[in-house]
Amino acid sequence: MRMRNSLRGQLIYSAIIGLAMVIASIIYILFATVRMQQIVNDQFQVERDFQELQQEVVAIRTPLLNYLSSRSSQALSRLLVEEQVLRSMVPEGLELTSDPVVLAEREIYSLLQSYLDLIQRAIDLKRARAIEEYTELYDEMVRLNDHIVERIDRISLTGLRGELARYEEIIETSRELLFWNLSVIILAFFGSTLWILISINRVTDPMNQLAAMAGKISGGNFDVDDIEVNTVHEMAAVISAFNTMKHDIRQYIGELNRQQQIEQGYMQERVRNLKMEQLLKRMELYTMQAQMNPHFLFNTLNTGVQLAITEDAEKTADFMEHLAQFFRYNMRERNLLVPLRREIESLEAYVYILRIRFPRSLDFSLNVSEDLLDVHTVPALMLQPLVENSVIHAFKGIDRDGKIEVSIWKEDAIVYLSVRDNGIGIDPDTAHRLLERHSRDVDHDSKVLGLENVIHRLYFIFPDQDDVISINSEPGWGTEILIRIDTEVTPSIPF
Amino acid sequence: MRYSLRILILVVAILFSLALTQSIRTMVSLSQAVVGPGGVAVARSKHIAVFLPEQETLYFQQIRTGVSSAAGRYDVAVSFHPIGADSQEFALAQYSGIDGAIIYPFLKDDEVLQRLNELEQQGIPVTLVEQDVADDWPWTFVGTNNFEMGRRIGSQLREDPRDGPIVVVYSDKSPAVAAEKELIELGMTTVMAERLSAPIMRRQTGLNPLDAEALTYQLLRSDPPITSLVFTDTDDTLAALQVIIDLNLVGDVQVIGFGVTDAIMDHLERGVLDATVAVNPQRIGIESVRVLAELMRTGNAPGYVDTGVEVIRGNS
Repeated sequence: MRMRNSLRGQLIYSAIIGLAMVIASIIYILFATVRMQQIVNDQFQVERDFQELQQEVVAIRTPLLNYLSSRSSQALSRLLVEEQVLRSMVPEGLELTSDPVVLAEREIYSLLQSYLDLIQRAIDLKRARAIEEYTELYDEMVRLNDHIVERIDRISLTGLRGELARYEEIIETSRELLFWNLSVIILAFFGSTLWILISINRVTDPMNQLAAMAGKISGGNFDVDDIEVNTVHEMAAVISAFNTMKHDIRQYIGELNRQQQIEQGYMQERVRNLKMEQLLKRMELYTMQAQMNPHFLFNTLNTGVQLAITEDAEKTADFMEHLAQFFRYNMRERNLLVPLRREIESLEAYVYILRIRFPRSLDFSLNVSEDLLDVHTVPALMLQPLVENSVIHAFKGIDRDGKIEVSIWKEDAIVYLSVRDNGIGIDPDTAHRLLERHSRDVDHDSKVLGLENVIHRLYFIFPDQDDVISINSEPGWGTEILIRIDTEVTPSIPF
Repeated sequence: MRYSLRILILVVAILFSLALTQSIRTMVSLSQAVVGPGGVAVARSKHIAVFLPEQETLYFQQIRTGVSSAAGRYDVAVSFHPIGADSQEFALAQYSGIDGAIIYPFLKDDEVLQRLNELEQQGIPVTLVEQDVADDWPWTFVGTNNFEMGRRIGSQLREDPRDGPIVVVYSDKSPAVAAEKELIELGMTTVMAERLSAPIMRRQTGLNPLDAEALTYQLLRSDPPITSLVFTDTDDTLAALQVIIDLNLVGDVQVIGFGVTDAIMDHLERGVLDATVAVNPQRIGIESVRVLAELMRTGNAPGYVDTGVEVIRGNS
């Protein structure tokens, strides 16, 4: 089987099959020709046999007459030899059928048998010197011999007439046989040629497919299907190697693409880091601008507090103290992540100041569990800018009392910080623009500078957490800004 | 391309098979053509030889038909042989290995008797047909009673008597009838008796089927003119009738023919022929085989089997 599927085996196999078909056809033609000759030969065999028999019947006349006339032992021996020859020509067990030809043959052999018996009788009469009897018997035997010869002539003539009558039919049939034999050999040759062509195609077809695939691959198309053909071992090995090569090249190119993508990501990361450094420097600049003279501000505020206490203006003193606390946190806090308690204290100071400023029009509530305050850290200055954003933008143009609700809770590993107001809301386009993650410079003209600042700082600190901040807003209903801080995620910037 | 090649090779394979099959079939056909059509040879238990005169008359053809049709029924193989002065087959029949012989003894009685005795000595049973031999030994006979045939012819002539002489035309083509002229005429005379206006005249034709034509011309122009013609052979009858028609003598001459072929019956129906003698040669053939088969089987058989004779009248 393996040999048959090899290229060499295929070539040998197809050549043998093709040649075998032609040789078998030639052998058949030879056999048919010999058979035809034999048939034609058989056609006249019976006549030839009878001819031979007739010659023997005629031939025995002379030794019979010689013996009867001379009575020599030599003549007798010759007669007996001839008699034996003739007797050997008489078949045993002559069949009796309704066929007139067979009946005629049977009669001829019966006549011959009787003639041979008469020879024996004539010999006996000769030995007994019964001259009159054997002379009379001789006459009878001559008549019988003539009759046998005449019957043989007749049956031969009848046979020949029959053969001649069939001659035309035989010639016609012979021509037909020659035509079919010629057809056999032509078709055998044609069939063997086709067989060899098919065998050659088994080799050349895969080569053509290989060439076509190579053309596609050279054009950069590595996604072409594998060649799946049933061919000889050698070609199958080439095709398998080609398919493997195609797979390897495709894999190699894929690897290159992945590396290129990684390099592109790395470059983007570097750009982002550069931008973040730039932003941090800018923030530092802002901070420095804000800390132009913090000691003077704090000392002044403390002086104001002492002055208010001296004048028994406790409320003013309280206000000044909260104001000092707020500025201290805003200006002096250098850590980006602070305990939640400190963020809340700063927020409360800010809210105290707001309540003094807007005693009637602002309803602020804070919902936070005491358990969370000392356990978790959050980015600094998150809540106050959001509340300030709501105070500044949320209640423009509405008559009802503003309501701001800050809620902090924890679910699983996520700490949620929610700042919600019942203001005019943020239109979706603005909200979407604010939450866009791509790097860009801080828009100094933005009217929601504090909110944008918070969003970008969160993106910097949690670059892989897409939902670190979201804006839920509907016109007329209000806005909720929700920050999700995953306590299991390490911030990307080391502190 | 590949599928086209496969389809092509399939077509070639089919054509190749067809050509090969046809070639083998033609070769078998050639063998059969050489052997010849031949009938289906059936094995038989006995061989009988039928010796009939060589002439190919309808009468003998019908005897052969009868013999052949009965051969299968009685399990015998039949070979036909000529009998006559020129043929040695009957003379040497004792050497031919036959089991029985049906003989139409168309030879001189002494020669026939010699051969019959030779066959008898060889233990070969014999049945004679249509023509008996004058011998003390009761040879088995199957055929027509010629005296009875004469009587029936006479009856027909008596019913429509004519004044002129009656001529009976015998023929070598019906040798059995010709051999027993006396019996036939005796039968005619017995029936007609005093109604015979003149002695019955005899004429003879040979084996030539046209003999009767010339003879009839001669008879019809004779003086006194012939008024009644009796034929004993079918071919003679037909030839004579054509002359009578040509001479426009239909009805003027009373004609009794021989045989019941379609042509004879047609003339009978049209009134050209007054009557015809109907013997049954086919039945003669069948009965001869039956009698001989019985003789071979049991050693005994009816000595005489009359196959009957009728005279069929025109418009009757």
